[in-house]
Amino acid sequence: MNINGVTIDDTFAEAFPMKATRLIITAMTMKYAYIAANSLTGFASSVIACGCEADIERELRPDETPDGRPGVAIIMFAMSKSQLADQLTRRVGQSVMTTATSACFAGTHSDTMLPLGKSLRYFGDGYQISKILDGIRYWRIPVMHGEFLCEETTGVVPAIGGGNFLVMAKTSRHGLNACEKAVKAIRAVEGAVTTFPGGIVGSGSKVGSKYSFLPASTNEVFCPTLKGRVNSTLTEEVGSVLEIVIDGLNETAISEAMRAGIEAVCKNGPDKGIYRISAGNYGGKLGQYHFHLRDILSPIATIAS
Amino acid sequence: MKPMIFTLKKKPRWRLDLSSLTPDRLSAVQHITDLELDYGSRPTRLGELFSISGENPEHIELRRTTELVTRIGANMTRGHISVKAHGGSYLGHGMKGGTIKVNGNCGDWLGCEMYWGRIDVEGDAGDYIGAGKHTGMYGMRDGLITVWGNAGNRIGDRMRRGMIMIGGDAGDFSGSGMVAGTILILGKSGRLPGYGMKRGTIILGRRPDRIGTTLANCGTLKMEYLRLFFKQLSRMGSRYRFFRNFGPEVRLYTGDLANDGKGEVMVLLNRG
Repeated sequence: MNINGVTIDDTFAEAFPMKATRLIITAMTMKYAYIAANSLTGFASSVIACGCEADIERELRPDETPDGRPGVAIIMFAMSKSQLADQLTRRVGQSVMTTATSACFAGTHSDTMLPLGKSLRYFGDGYQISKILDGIRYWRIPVMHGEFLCEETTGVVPAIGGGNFLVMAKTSRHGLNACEKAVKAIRAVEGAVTTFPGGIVGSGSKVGSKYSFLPASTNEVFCPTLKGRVNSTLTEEVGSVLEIVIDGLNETAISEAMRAGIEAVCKNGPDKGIYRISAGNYGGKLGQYHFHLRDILSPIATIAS
Repeated sequence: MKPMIFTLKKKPRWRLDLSSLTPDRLSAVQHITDLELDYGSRPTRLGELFSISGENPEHIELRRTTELVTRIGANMTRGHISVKAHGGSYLGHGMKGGTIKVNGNCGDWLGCEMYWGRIDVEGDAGDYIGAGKHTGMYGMRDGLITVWGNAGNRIGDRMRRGMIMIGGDAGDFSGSGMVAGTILILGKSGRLPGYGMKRGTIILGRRPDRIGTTLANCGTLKMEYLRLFFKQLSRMGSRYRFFRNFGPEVRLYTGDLANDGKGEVMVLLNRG
């Protein structure tokens, strides 16, 4: 299969189950909502060493937020509920509550709820006030800028992490140019985020290492500098491989995000240094979700052909 | 199905307890006209006092009631009661669910010790709205009481949770001994709101006649919580939409310090 001259490998992205929650962060201005959200989602690229994966899902207009102020929705992913609960308290407490004028609300409600303000309220040192509106409990924690308003709990839902595709380009400049367009396209898909810096992975990994203490190490078969030394599938013209990793709330969100991202990349075509699209998997042994590139892209490929 | 309509045949001379006329009770009764009501000091058959039409016991309509009726909707857990005349005293006493709508006025002890549900009064209401009876520890535990007219003294006395909204003026000692919950008075309020309050929030549309000296002045502030509060209120229906224009700027008082209280009295400065 090829789209706009870009070869699509007959392979699949292998993803695995995770737990996720969506948060709504608001502030006096969009600038401070972003500051809080960027701080929370910073160092949340991979569960391998960050404890969770998180990214901004989208901006929210004042009429879309609970308190009528500008805000952003973020989604946080972790391997288990307890891990997610731990990261929530740490990150909301240290990144959102400390941001001036911020407030934090649940973006998902489900049967299973994780503590949010329920844990953070103790910062109020006895001066915190709880209010129940429309059946939802909020905590008002007095802080130096006024009050930090926080919903008591947030819903945790089953989710999927590790949807991905690899972009093989002539140079890093060509690859980045295409991948930035892909990330922008993925941002438009509800329920899907790209948690790595800028949404693009420059150092994709494989599971395990020759060193026993490392859970993950460089994916040498996609390293251009090792083309001649390992059993690489990279052709001579490929000088850079970038990966886009997508976490989503369900399979549809990930499929849609992969389709949108690959479509955006393929628009650049070989003329702009994009040669091939592949995906990362572990032979189907690690994750229960398999996203086959050609299945996802068949509607586009048909149109293109 | 049409609502079950109960029309008083003549004005009662004595106190008439209507706590049996709830969806819970009527659904379980075979012959409604034989149901006994406490009228004065003796039980009286419902059929002697009311003419009845309609068949839906989940929606009850009461007509031609006077201020001598008492305990409409007491302890009800579901359904809807519509009162087309006076709501009497102790309306919604201890109710645990459902809704009551009163087109006229109400007497004292409206929604006292209620646990859940919603009461909407078009006219005025008396003293002790959502309060606890003198024999009880607390006032209302949860739910929403809205009085679009004026209210009497000591509204929300010892209330534990829930919300009371007064569209008009309120009397003295609003939220006295309040433990938690929210009281919103859009009109003028009388003397000493929040007297002896432990916690909870009293939001006043206008500065009261007199603020207690044991309520500490925290100055003029923006309470961001009010943005959330007013936005939620404005979504409760077209009649509540004016809350969209309300701003978070308030004059804040906290106390009652004489009771080691951490409650708050907010006087709104921006009503759009």
